[in-house]
Amino acid sequence: MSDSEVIKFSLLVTGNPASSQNAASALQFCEAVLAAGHKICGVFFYLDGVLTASDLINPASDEVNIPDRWVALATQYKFALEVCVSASLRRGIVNEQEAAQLGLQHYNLKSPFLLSGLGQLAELSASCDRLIQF
Amino acid sequence: MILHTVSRSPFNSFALKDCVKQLSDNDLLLLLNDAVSAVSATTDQHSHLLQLDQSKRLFVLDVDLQARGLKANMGQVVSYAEFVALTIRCQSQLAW
Repeated sequence: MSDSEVIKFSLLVTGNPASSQNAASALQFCEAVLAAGHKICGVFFYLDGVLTASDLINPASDEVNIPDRWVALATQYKFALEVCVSASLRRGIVNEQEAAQLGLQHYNLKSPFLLSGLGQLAELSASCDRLIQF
Repeated sequence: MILHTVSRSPFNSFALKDCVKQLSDNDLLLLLNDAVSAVSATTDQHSHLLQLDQSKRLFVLDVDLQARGLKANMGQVVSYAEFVALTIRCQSQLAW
């Protein structure tokens, strides 16, 4: 591959945004990919990484708000933020539809994060040039 | 050619030990997060890492060294931009 070619990246994020540095590393890697002029096809959140999709995360104002940064990047560069549904339900990340189905009083999935399955990860991996895991 | 990324400290995980055993002849190794301590202190994988360094296949993430106040005694210190370039140079990545 030549240096000038635009490479399509997908990212797999498994780190808890509050306690794992991998969550911050993934975000910084994503920013570096975009700064180099490459493309992000999508980001898949799995294991404790799904906690990034909670709308209730509010770190102190002098700290980086990782979920907000993901939303800003995904909106600006138009890529999807996919969240594994089974890992989410296990950790209390629920969207409106799941809450209704499960008879829960609340839901907390941040927009534009989407609950999806491992099939979506397979699709992301097949449609990009590089899948990078954090 | 695979880019292996190790993020856990060699002092509380077997990630680095397991990874160096699996490295093929032309694979690259990038240390990030707590794993950067492996190029600053002496570990059981020291000779392995030295060999990798001599063949220019060992890389360490700059900001993670700085955040810990560590200095690299071996390996090429790289930025996130160079990390991205390494993932392009290799066909795939394996996270340990």
